[in-house]
Amino acid sequence: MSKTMIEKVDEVLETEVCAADQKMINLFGRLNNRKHELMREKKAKQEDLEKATDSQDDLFIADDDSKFKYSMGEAFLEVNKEDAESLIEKYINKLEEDIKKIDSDINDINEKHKELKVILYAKFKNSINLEE
Amino acid sequence: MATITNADPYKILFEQDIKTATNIPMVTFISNVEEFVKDKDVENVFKQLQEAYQKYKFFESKLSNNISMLTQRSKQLQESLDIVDHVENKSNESFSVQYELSEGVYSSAQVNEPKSIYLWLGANVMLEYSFEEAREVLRKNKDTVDRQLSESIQDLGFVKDQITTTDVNVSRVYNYDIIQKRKLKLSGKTEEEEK
Repeated sequence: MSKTMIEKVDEVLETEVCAADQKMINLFGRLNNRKHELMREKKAKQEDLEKATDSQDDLFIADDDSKFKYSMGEAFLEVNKEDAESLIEKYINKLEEDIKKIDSDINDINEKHKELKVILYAKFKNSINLEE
Repeated sequence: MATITNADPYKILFEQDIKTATNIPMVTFISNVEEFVKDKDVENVFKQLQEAYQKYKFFESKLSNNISMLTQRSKQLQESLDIVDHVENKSNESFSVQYELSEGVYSSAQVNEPKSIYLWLGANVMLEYSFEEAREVLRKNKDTVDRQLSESIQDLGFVKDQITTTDVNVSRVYNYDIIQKRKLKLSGKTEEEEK
């Protein structure tokens, strides 16, 4: 009984954290924070994209001689239908591009997380919790 | 005209080692807990670690706010650049603008064949620029802001690492303390059994 307990204690002691482990843990934490930031950003941009797409549809059915107020910075510029279509298409393309980049970054983080998890779980097993 | 895209400042977070932030001390990694705790009162060790943790949390909060402010500023400057491009494209036309007088209050203005643009420089100063000059000024300002943003992101990455390291330090000292107490209890029992 006594020997068994002592051995268990020694088992715990054996999984000592070295400097290299700490660096991997830090990297995991940093990237995890960034991943959650990116997910929030993506959600916001998807909402913007939905509004922009709705606007584009409304624009399509509007009278050809209509004038529109396009928001730029803190002002609204009066533009004709053709210009409005051009500006909103440009805006939509930018949003889609941004979302694509966010997906790419999240994918990179997931890859790195996978690598780090393999290494860290192999060493620490149940002693470590790498929640994402 | 294509927008110049800056390199992603967040790529720094993928580095194994983040450069040390100026004015913020680095946590010393505890390579051997037993050596570290020897001749020290464990309660004092925890207290010191907790104080360090709070300091890094303060830095984290400050840097996060700074990053939000700089991100917003960079976005505004990009919007200004877009407006300059748009107005230049209209330099042979007339168009109207609704500009903000106060929160939610707008007035209308007619712009006839614009040849120049005015930039508000602060301190009650506004200067007239050609379109190219205005772009130059705005781009220079944006580059400055983007550089500051990159530095803040790097610093924040460093601070988050210190927070994580401190967290792990606390866990290791705590686990070590538990084990020591368990050993004491065990050795006490062992002695009793021998009697």
